[in-house]
Amino acid sequence: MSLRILIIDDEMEILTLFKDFMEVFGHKVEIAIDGQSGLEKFKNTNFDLDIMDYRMHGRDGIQASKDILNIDKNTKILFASADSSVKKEALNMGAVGFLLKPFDLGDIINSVKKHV
Amino acid sequence: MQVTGGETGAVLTEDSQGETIISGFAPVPGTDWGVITYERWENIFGSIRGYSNLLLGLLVLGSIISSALIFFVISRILRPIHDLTMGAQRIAGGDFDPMIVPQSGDEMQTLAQQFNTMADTLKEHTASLKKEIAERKRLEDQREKARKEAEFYADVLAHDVGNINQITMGYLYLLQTAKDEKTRKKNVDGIKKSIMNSKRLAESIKILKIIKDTKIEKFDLNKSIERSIEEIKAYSNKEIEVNLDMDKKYYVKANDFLDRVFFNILENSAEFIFKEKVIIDIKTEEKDGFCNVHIHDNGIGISKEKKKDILENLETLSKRTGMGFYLTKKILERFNGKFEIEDVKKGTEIVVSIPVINGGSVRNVHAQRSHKRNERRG
Repeated sequence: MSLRILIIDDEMEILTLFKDFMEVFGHKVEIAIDGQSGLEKFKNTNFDLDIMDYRMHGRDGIQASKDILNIDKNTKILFASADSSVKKEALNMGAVGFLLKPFDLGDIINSVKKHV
Repeated sequence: MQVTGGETGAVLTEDSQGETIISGFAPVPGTDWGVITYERWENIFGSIRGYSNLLLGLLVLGSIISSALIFFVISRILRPIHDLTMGAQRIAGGDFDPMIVPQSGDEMQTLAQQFNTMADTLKEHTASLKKEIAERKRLEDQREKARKEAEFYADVLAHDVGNINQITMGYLYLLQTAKDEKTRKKNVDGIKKSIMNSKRLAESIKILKIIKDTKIEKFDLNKSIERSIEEIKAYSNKEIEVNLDMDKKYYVKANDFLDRVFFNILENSAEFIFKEKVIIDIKTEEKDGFCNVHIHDNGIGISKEKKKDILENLETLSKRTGMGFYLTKKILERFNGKFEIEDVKKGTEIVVSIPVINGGSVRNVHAQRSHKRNERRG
């Protein structure tokens, strides 16, 4: 099943790595370098899943997720962060899952299958 | 009438001119006559009243002199006590200068000397206390600074190391699943780059720790820029074209870490350009004793919000986004330089300013080169 996925992360290499990898599985992937540009992309396109980093310039992952959920409360957000201390907050806020960096790329596909 | 009536006596009356007189009268025995005498009252009591006034004056004068004498004597007695009281008040107010000791040879002199001894002791104690407080404050400030520094490094490392590890893990997974040699090589290169990034991160932390104490000397800015260009081309997996326009040779007060400044900026340009080809224009100019190096790229640009954070709130920003700009700023501060982000319509323009060494530049040397390489990492 092909999904429309938005990846928001402040590390360009992670964005391109995830994008290239997920596109192999047939997903349509867009990337955003921070919360603000991610939010703008989200307003213009309907995504099946958002993969969200936490530590970013401006809006952090939690704030950006709240903004996205305010627009569409049914949006599925998968957190991907190296900061385990935000896991609880992310899940309470409405994230469908939390991937602790560094994780195997296979985990991201398994999470997508599990949650979407 | 009284005289003729045989009476004897005296009366106080007035004469025909209105003057007060005292008149005495008595009958002359055996006749109908009487004798009346008088004298002016003023003649009798005038001198007495004069003496009275003189005595009264002397009495008043005596009283005044006595009072002044008493006041003077009492003042002399009370002065040391007053001085001691004032001295005690000064000490209470924190002024420990010695008071003047009366050379009276009595208890007052001893007491004043004791006060001075006490003031000296208090002065020493207070000075020692102040020194101790200042030392504690310095240590507290140092601890707070170290705590913030540790927090900063922890946050930055959590961010940067997390990303490096994630990238490495990603390439490892792709390497494991690679089906052809080209893909395998690409992923091995990615892992190598991650390892280099890790090394660079460790170097960045080391530079941050030592940069304040590094020696600065006459340094060739042009060569520093050229080395950084070569390094970024070798490092990045994108095609990088650099148009270099250096108006003359510049010598600045810096050291080898200047290369890191230019590399960081170039790396930032290369990273945030989504296009396959990165075009960077570098231009130098001298202004107000500074060499301004303009570095312009064809990237996505920096939002006003991020620009504000980079310039005004860099430490907090670095905790979220890594230490690239923070390190750049700290190195430039060591060289009394700075960087600014120019407002440009397209891309990003960063201007690095470093003081030029007087007479260190050779004018009219115009270098315009175009570096076009299409290097892949590895």
